[in-house]
Amino acid sequence: MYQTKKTYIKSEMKVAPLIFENPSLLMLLEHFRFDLVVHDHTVEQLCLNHKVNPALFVTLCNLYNSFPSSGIVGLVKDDIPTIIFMLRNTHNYYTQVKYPEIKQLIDEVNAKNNAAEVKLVELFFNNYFDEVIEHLDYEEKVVFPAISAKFGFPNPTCFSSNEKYSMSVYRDHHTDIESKLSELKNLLLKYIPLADDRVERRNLLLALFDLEFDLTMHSLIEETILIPLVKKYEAEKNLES
Amino acid sequence: MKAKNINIAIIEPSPIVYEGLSTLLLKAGQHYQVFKVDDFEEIPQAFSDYGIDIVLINPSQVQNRARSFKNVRKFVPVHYIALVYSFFSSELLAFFDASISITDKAEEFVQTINRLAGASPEEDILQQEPLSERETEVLVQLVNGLSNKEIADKLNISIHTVISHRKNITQKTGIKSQPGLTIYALSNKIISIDNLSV
Repeated sequence: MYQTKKTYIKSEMKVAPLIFENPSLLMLLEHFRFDLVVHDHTVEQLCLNHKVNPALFVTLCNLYNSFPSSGIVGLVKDDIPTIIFMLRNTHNYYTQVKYPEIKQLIDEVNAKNNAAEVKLVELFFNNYFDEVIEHLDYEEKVVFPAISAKFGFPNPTCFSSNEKYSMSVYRDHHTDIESKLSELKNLLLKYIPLADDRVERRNLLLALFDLEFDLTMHSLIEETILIPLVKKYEAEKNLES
Repeated sequence: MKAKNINIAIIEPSPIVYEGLSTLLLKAGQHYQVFKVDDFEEIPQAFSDYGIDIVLINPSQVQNRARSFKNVRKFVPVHYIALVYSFFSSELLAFFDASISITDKAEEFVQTINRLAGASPEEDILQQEPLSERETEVLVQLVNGLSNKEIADKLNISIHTVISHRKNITQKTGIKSQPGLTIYALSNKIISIDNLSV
């Protein structure tokens, strides 16, 4: 999002300079629950310390550096629970950190600008947030347990996996979440009259861009990595039986 | 509003040509995603994983393997563009929907790809224009919570026309949802807060 030309990451590179180049990678460390202090470790050392397949982490880092994944080379079946772990952490980050932060920022804009539109933005955002929760719930309650059960991994959630999930429903949800977010940005940037809320509105917009980037990565991880990986091992499983 | 991505699979044995081509496509300012595929036999897999729209392929890959290429084409009926930088017989080139030569300009690449992928160039232009009178009328009814059918009856137009107005409204404003449109209409003084029931 911030730079156009970034390094294509390899596992023998040191982590710190990569983060200086693309700070968004900090969020990736966070989603993996890696230590923030990375010492002089290489990507590979960092991964091995945390028992994560370096190939997986490198693929995701490169996604963050805007190199679309061109396949799932080097990824193995055991990476599936890691990806699910990481995606669930991302969900927590949205509900516990990011969305409350945005709500707070909308309140701040509201305090400085009493136009009727701003009140409606609050309503709009609350409705939108309900939809996001619904989508995350769907993954928590249906998709993740179903995938885990299929490959005999322990169920990471407390929900049973009796429902059948559909990958297409899974994708439609994403499109919707992203288009509502872009509506909100359009409204704030193009239409709603400005009062004393210049600083607050800019902070709100920046927070929305941040969220959008993370959400985009989130759906790319699901669509270009998790889904192909699941399909690959589903096919293998079908061959065995 | 985000336009739909066009997913392009590139089958090109030379890494230099591949890198150059993918950089050029990614820099074209279009909604392109590029995927490297080693052999056309892998197209069905790539298609089911990523939803490929266009295949850019070096014709030498197809030489002497016409039969299996035809099978892949039948199985994955997307658009296949030949990437030409040496001589190939017209017989071979007839297997493809179009061909581009590496001496072509970047704009020509983009034109060929967009034409085949059916990307509408009007979208960006539309975004600049203000809403027409009729679109504004439809917008007001949408804000009032009327359905397509109700709007059609009220304005004496067909449902199809209502849908096409709605599509234009979304393209021009970047707003789709009813609450979003309400905020838009309010901000542009198309409606006032008094005739709103919140």
